[in-house]
Amino acid sequence: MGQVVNPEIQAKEDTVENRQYKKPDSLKEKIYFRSIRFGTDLLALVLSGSDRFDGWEAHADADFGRFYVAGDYGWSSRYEVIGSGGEYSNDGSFWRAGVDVNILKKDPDRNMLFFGLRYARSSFSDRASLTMADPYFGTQQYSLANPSVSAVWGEMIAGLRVKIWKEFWMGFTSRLKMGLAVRGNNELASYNVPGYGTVSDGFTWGFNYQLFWRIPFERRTKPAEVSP
Amino acid sequence: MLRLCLLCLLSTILLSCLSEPDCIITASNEVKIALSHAGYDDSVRFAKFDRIEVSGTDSVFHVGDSVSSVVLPVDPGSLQTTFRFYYEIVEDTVTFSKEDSVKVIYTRVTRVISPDCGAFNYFQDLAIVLSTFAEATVNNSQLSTSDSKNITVKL
Repeated sequence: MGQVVNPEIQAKEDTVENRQYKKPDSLKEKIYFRSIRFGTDLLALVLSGSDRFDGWEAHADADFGRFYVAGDYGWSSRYEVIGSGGEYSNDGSFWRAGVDVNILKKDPDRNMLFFGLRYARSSFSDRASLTMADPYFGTQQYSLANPSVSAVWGEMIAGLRVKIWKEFWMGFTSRLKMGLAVRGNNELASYNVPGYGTVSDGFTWGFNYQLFWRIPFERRTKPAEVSP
Repeated sequence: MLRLCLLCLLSTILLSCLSEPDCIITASNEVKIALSHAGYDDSVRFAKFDRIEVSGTDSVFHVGDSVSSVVLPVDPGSLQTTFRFYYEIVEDTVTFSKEDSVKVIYTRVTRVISPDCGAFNYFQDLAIVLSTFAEATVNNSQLSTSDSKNITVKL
């Protein structure tokens, strides 16, 4: 004989609360393109317009699961008063490209705590007007310029990206910059490189505070339902 | 693992504040010239200088000094400087008055240390283009505040 099904009981069993969702079978994420994010550095915008600094940065990264392909492009100009009466200024552009790894596994909002590497390059010009006193040769005036300078360096970065509302994200990036090589200096050694900062032996540090907007390309699907 | 990563991230952020360069200056426009015996290696020689003249300045140096080495400034506004030496040496108890000159060329790189420290000229690639001494050699082509000699001349 066939089994009699009480429709009321069957309806109750079919409610959303009683449906059992299939758990993800592992924390491994498949590598495929999910979304792209565009952003800008808020610190550069805040500091711009001062007497000493003007510039901006744009960022973009493509989401491939745990891995992100990222790039930056920016422009800056800097002016410094050197000692008493001397001046140094530069202006130029820079870009960075690299890969980030998100160590937050399968966060449902795709928040990120990440580490990454960057290759960076800058093209700029700089100039200085300086006065130096010598006890034997008197006061010397120097007007020096490098019309075309290029620089390359590497970066190790770490940072955070957090979803704040719908497709808007906020985050910061800390940068350890190293391996700077500058070409095109004449009699003036470049003091500052756009995107890198003050030229120094060894390494230097940098920091960005960023706002992003994400464009998803992945259609969100409900987890698979498993009948009880 | 997550806590360790957060600690590294926080340390990275805090260390990014320590980025001001130290005000340590090694730039100098002084050439250190050592005197040596002609025909001998590494033999120090003393000479009594009436005076030493340097092109580009009216100042005279080492007047009346009996020394085995001299320190002379190069002209920071030019890429060459000539030193003229008026001196006396003693050989076999006989005193000789002599006059010799050395012309050197060099490159100059101006480097800004920091807005507070200022900018300084670094002189390097020192080379001798003309010398009337028996022999004159460059030992260290970079001028700095260190004690290492830059040129040795044989009298």
